[in-house]
Amino acid sequence: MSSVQGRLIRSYWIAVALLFAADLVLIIRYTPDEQTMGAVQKIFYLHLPVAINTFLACLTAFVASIAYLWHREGWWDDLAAAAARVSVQLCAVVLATGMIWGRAAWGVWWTWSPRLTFSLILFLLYVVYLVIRSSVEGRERRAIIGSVYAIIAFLDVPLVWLSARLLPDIHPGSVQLEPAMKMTLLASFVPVTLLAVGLVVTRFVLNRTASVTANSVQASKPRDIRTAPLVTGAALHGPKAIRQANGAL
Amino acid sequence: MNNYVIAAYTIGSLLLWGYALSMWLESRARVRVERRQSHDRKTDGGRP
Repeated sequence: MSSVQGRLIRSYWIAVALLFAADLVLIIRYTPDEQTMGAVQKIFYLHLPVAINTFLACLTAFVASIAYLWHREGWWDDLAAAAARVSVQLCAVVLATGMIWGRAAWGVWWTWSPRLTFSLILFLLYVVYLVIRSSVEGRERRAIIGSVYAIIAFLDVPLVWLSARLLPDIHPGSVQLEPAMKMTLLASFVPVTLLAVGLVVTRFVLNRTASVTANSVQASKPRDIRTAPLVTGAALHGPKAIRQANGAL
Repeated sequence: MNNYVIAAYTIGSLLLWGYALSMWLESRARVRVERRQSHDRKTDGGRP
């Protein structure tokens, strides 16, 4: 990574952190309290943007998985894995903030309403996706199984979205906000979305680096299993010995 | 400020920024390993 790239990445994260802090100040100091729920309603300005970004991360994993099955290029799989990992993190925030809000507003930490249930299922589906990926041997096999699973897992997202509209749910179907509250909500989308994008891109770059390293290690492996002890033995004596051993094969 | 709001924002921020921090540490560790490997390649693992 060049120093210019490093500086740009650092500037991006500093800008996101500053926007996040400014948004917190806006929410806490300048946004009016809601009439019926009071200050507790302010959880909404984190809860909703993170929930929407969870759906976007799941959508990214879904699209990247289809693209992988279509093109069979490794970077699509790395992108799907990155988006799925971040969607787990975002969904955990949605569930945690939702539970705290539920305790304050309804007096219970959890209720088995359709939207809450589908949200918990969504979280578990993507946790299982990560578990499956880590347990499958072979890069291509892992990518194919992961892609098929991610496409199926995405089917839960429309269920979460539509559940409060089509089924009787504790969540309101639509929300009416005062202009100041609406402005704060829109402002909250900016740092949360930038943070989610930053997390997905960073995870993708890390996944990509790991894949490229794994591929180069795979490519430098001896061609014949009978030659493996020679190269492994050479590894104990440093890179020069490995090169000599590879040359002798 | 309501305690529930403080709890929600604290947990939410920790989960999101904690993950960002973990990836930053991971990338730094990888850079360090790559640097060590490239140094080893240049010096033949420190052997004469």
